[in-house]
Amino acid sequence: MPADFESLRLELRRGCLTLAVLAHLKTEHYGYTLRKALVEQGLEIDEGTLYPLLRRLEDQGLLVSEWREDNKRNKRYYHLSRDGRRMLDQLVDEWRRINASLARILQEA
Amino acid sequence: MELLDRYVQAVKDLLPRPKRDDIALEISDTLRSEMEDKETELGRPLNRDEEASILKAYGHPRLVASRYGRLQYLIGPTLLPFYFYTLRIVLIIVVVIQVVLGLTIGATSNDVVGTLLGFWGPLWGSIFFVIGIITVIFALLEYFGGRLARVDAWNPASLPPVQNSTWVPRFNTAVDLVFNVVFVLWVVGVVPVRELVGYMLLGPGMSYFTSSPFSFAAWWHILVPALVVVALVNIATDVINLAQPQWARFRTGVAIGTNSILFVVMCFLLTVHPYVIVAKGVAHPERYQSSADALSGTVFAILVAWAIIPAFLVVTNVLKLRKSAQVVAVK
Repeated sequence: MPADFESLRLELRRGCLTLAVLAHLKTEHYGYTLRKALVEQGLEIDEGTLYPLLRRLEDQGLLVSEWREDNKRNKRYYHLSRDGRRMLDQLVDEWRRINASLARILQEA
Repeated sequence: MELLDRYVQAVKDLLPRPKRDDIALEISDTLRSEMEDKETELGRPLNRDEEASILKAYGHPRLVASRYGRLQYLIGPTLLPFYFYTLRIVLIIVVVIQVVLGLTIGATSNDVVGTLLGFWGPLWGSIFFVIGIITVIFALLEYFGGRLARVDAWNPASLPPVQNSTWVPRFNTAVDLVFNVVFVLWVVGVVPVRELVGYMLLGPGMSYFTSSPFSFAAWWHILVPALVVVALVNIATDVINLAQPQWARFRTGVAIGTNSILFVVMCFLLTVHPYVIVAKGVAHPERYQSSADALSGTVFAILVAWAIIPAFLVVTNVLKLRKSAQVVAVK
């Protein structure tokens, strides 16, 4: 049975989304504005993926969050923890290595 | 925003308890923000359908809540291969035990068919019970983050040898074992088994067979022990094969031996006449003599065919053994 494009695309995006979220949270965001920022930069992500991802990253100690009042409403703001910053640096290095390799492979292909 | 509150409530009820309020509050805020943005864009408050459309796009409450759950599957990809392996082994053992038990009890019962049919239900019960128990054990291992010790503590040296095409699956061996046991019980005259097999083969017609005016001549007493010896050798081979399915050359060697015995016995039987005689005590035996001669001719034809099969199997197995010896020599 041939694999369908959608499932392979999701597989390809999964790791990239984590990296993009960590990179964006170098500056503080709450979920809704974070999603909007990602979408504006061309990275579509639905809420059902983003919010559980934020929770998981927080459980892993890579993010910290706090509730704060903004426009008379409580919002949960996320930003990178110290471990998160270290992890982001490592992931960015890894991403660059993979990207360079892929560029070479795709050029040869 | 009444719809929004109902939606958040529906999701909240399904969320993991420790962070339920926190997550529900965040979902509520996200949806409110999205609705407010939409209102700004339209320049008016949203109507009920527009609110519903945003909620629908966010996802079914059960699906949304499930994404926050720790466990997304009952048995994950790490444990799944071990789950199927364990299930297969345990099911084979359970089925073999149940079948042997059923045949043993059936053999000592007056109502063989009834006894065996009575085992049919419990057999399925056992199968479902085993599947359930093993699934629960693996689900618990998955849930509590447990990993089978062998996942980490495996040794490449303990892996089985490379499987080749002559490797007989354990399931096939188990089926063969049951068949051979039934055959021996039938041939040695365990009456209920003989009745059952006869009934399975001939159905109600068996009564005509048992009341026949014909009987087999002395050759039958040569064939029966030969078949029992072959079946007993096959049973021993099956038991060994269950433990060592990779012993292909051993099994091929045994097949050459048993088929050679059968071939010799069949060749001998082809020289023995007649095969069917009129039974003792039958009134006016001369009336049945021509029919007995015709039946003897039929049995002769069957024996000729029966002699060809073991001869063919001896040749193919010898070739197989030679080929595997060459492969071993090349390696």
